[in-house]
Amino acid sequence: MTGTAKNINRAGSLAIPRNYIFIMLVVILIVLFIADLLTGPVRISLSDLLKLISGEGDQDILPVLYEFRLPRALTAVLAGMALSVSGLQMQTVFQNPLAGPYVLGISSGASLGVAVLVLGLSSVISFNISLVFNSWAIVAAAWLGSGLVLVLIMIVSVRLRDIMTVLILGIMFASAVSALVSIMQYFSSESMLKSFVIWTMGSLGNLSWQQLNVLSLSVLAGLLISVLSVKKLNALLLGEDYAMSIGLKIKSARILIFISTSILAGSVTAFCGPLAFIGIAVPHICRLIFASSSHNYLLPGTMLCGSIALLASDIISQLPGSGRILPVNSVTALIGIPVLVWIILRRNKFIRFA
Amino acid sequence: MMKAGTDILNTDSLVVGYNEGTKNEMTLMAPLNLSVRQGEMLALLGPNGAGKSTLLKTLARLHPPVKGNIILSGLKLEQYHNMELARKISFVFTGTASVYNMSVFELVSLGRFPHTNWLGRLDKTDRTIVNRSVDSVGLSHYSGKKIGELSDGEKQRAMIARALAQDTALILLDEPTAFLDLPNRYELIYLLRRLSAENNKSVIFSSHDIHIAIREVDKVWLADQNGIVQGAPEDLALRGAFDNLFAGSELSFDPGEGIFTYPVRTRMIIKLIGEGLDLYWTARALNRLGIRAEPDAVSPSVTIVSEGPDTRWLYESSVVKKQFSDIYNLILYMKEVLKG
Repeated sequence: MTGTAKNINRAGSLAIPRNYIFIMLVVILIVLFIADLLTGPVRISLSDLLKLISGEGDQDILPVLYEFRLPRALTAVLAGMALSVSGLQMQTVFQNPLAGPYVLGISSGASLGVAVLVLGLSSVISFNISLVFNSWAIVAAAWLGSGLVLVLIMIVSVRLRDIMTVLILGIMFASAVSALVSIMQYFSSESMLKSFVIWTMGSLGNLSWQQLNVLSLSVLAGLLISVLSVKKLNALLLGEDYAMSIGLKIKSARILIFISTSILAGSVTAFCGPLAFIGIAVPHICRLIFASSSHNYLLPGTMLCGSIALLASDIISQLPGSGRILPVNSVTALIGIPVLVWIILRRNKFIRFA
Repeated sequence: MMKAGTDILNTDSLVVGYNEGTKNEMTLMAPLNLSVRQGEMLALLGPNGAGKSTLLKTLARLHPPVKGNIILSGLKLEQYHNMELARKISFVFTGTASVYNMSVFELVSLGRFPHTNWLGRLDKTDRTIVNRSVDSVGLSHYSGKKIGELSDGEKQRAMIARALAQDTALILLDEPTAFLDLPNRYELIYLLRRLSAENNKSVIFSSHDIHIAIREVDKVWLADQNGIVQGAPEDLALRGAFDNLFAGSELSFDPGEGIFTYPVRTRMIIKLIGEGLDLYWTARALNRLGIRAEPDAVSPSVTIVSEGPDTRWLYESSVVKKQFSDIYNLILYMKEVLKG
């Protein structure tokens, strides 16, 4: 059986063993998490934080940490994980390297929900903008909107055998919904328009602890389905024909993965707005790092890398030392685009999504 | 007569086609009553568009039948649960593998899908089977290599290893030799033969490599628009079944040689004298020009003279006498003769 042992070794061998990569990623995640806690308008140093943990030190910074920094950092971790895992799943299901968490039209659906609330309802009833923001209403509206799109996609994907057609229809739904949102924007008041635009820029800092609990539970539920789908996702790498021939029920697998993606991407969009690029770029980076398409590595890998990427974006968006804050969506896009360009240029050599 | 008990697969008035039960229903062949025995190597031959792929997919329940039944190991195909069926039939699709960034070991271990738990975790038995499958297609040294780095022939072998790892009694392959060069085609068919013999697996493959297939398989399904004729390739040759294979084309089956040839109009009859391989290859070259050798012809004549290592070709007619050092120059001259 020496031959067997050797084969396994060869199958798993790499320049850097994958266990070390995971350890490295966890270390980076912890470092960035702490760095994110220390970043913000109020100066908090590492020694302040350490003193606080050991029970002595300045109690004044505690509310800042507890009310603002910690929820924001946790939101970044959860949202990064959720979006990256949804992106990975969509790339595998659609066998398309450019698919992301929003190909199903989830963000368009959420935008529609929020637009109906902010632009539509608020022009009828006079709403206090600050009341609309930071409230469950906006979350519920986004959830409803993305749920609506999910139902449409489900109806289509149960009827259609060809996944490419599902993808094209998903993109068309998204465009139609965006068109509706544009019409609403056109007829809305200036102040309402501004609050809607700010929502579309994404924010990690608007969550109360109560909302964070709901987000955590949703992300956990979505990730649980993903973990249960690892075997199915691996089978889908061979293409749907092969997946079927080895015993996978294609349509039920598709629906399960769509549900997971909608819970993950829909919840994040509801609480944080439509965050771009993380979901498309992170799975590709992970394929590079792990030199594999196997979801056994990619699923935990994208979870870690997604959190890392969003924490980094959040730190950069705070413009440390300047006292100003950039919209997080601009930062993820500005980091995400060069990464995507780099991937496209090197794709023939390194990146095949399957 | 065949004993039904040893058949692994039977079809009962099976009709394959598209859009079953709708007004656009299209059937491809007359109702089929086919059988495959355990451990048998079977080739599905037929022209493009006869419905070979559709038939194979229908047999593996990857495509719905229009009518009729398929019986696999005594049970109707539709009675199988997905996973059960995947433990009975494995399929290798036409074309090269679409995966790239996956090692041979990872690819082949996907064949264990219907055998592993919900996480897809490979236990010791699974690993042994995967490694054995990789070894038996001769890829043991490439186990850790990426699929994208393999040649087309190696990729196809990796896909076959994946089917082996699925550990099914029946393996279906849709044109496994397409895209391969000649040596790889032969190797692949020999590999399938060996696997079928060693593991008592039934192998059904569709192919356009009729010449290779009819030498190597136990049974042929010969498909055309009218249906399928089945039997040993030799029986089919004796019955003249291959002649009907490409109806509508001028191609005809030469039962003596076991090959298909394109008919050439006879333009000249000569006497050909010689022996052995020299005679055989000279006759072939002359045939290409439409020059037929007949024993009772008198003139003109071509005589092959072998003296030690030298061979010469003598052309003699009522007016000229010519001598050539090889067939190429003989043919060049004969072309001139035919032009007049």
